[in-house]
Amino acid sequence: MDISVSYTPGYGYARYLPGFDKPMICFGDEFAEFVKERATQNFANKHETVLSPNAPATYNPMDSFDRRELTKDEFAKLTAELAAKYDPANMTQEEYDSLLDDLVEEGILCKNELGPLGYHGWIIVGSLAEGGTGLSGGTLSVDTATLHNNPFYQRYGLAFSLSDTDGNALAYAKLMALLTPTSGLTAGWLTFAEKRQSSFEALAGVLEAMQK
Amino acid sequence: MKVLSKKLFAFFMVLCMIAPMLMVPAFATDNTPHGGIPEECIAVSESEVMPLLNPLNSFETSESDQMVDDGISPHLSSTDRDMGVGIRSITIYPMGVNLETGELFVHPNVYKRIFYVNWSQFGGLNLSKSDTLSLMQQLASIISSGGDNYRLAGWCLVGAVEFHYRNPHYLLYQRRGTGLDPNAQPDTKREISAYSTESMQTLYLYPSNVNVLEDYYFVGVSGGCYYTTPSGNASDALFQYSATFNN
Repeated sequence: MDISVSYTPGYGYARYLPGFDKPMICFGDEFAEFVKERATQNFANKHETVLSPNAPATYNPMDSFDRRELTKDEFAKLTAELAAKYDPANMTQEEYDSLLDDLVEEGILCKNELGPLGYHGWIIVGSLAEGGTGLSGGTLSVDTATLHNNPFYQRYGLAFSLSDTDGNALAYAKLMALLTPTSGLTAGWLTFAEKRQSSFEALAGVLEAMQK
Repeated sequence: MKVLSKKLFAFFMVLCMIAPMLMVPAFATDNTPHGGIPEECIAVSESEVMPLLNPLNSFETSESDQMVDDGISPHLSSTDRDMGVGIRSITIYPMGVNLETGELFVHPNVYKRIFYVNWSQFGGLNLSKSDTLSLMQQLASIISSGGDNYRLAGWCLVGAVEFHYRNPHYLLYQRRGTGLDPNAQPDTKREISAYSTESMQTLYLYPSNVNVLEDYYFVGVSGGCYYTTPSGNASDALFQYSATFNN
């Protein structure tokens, strides 16, 4: 009998990880179903969680968001203000988080977009609530010639996080926005990836204007 | 249109099993992080690269601070001929889950990645038992300080694959992994444009039938690219990449 595994009815199996005093490794269909059911219920109840500094941002797959449309003057004013506070080519994670907070306040981004954008240094890659029991994932496509002519790509390659671009938020956003979702193992993932690309396009637009 | 026949599929599965043995990455015998691709391999022309397509892999860990290239840049400055399918990089992230919301997440600084500068259809990122445990502990340490709602749930595999064809038609691929029935996996089919690079992200919950701290297991992607050759013949090329654990 494996004493490193615990089983809780309704919750499923969990295994202890060396160095940790609680079961950290969750597995099995019952566990996945448990999380999926709880997540679905929480979203239905519009559950709000308090975000700890070390926790991934929230992401609500059922969320719909109408991005605020700015006039040319409003946009120029906003980006000038942001440019005075942040350097798009050189940001710490804290500055990047603060910029995202500002953009949420301005209605350019919504709170539930922050997870896939790398808020607090975490990246949401999907949700059991939308992707079934983990059968998630898909393809992001970019034209190779476009890639090779892209100055950010030439410098950083494909980047999947702010740290991949050494804090260059503009490069990160532009490279992520290049990746067009083209197919998904689940419809949920494809929707997730399309929303993510839209978020990065909005962010890249602001950062590019700040750079000028 | 051709599809993966049973015979072809059986052959492919044999390749999947053999490929990791044939393509032992550099880090399999040396776990020291190399920290990226040698600079002399970057931004040279195709004509310079073609004679140099010897297997040469580069391995990076999240501990490395050195900027690395993803291995695609050196090859293709022109698009005048088909070079085939090339795995450019494979990255594996331990994946966490928020028990309250079902969100699956990774930390961008906790991963293992391998870059390929050779032109290969098959790639394997093989983690030792200590590498596997270390990755899981790194993520567990971070999420433990974030609250009580977070657990480890599996792996996020990201493969960057270049399809260098003038007349490609489509890709057909499936997830593979220990405990996943290959006959039950849905095909993902998509049309691709000429000379495209695809970043494929696939998520895997831990398999139920293995001890993920001790036993060997793997997660991966298997597929085929269907295209027309410059001489007008229909053809296909297989590709496969995987991450294996507890080697």
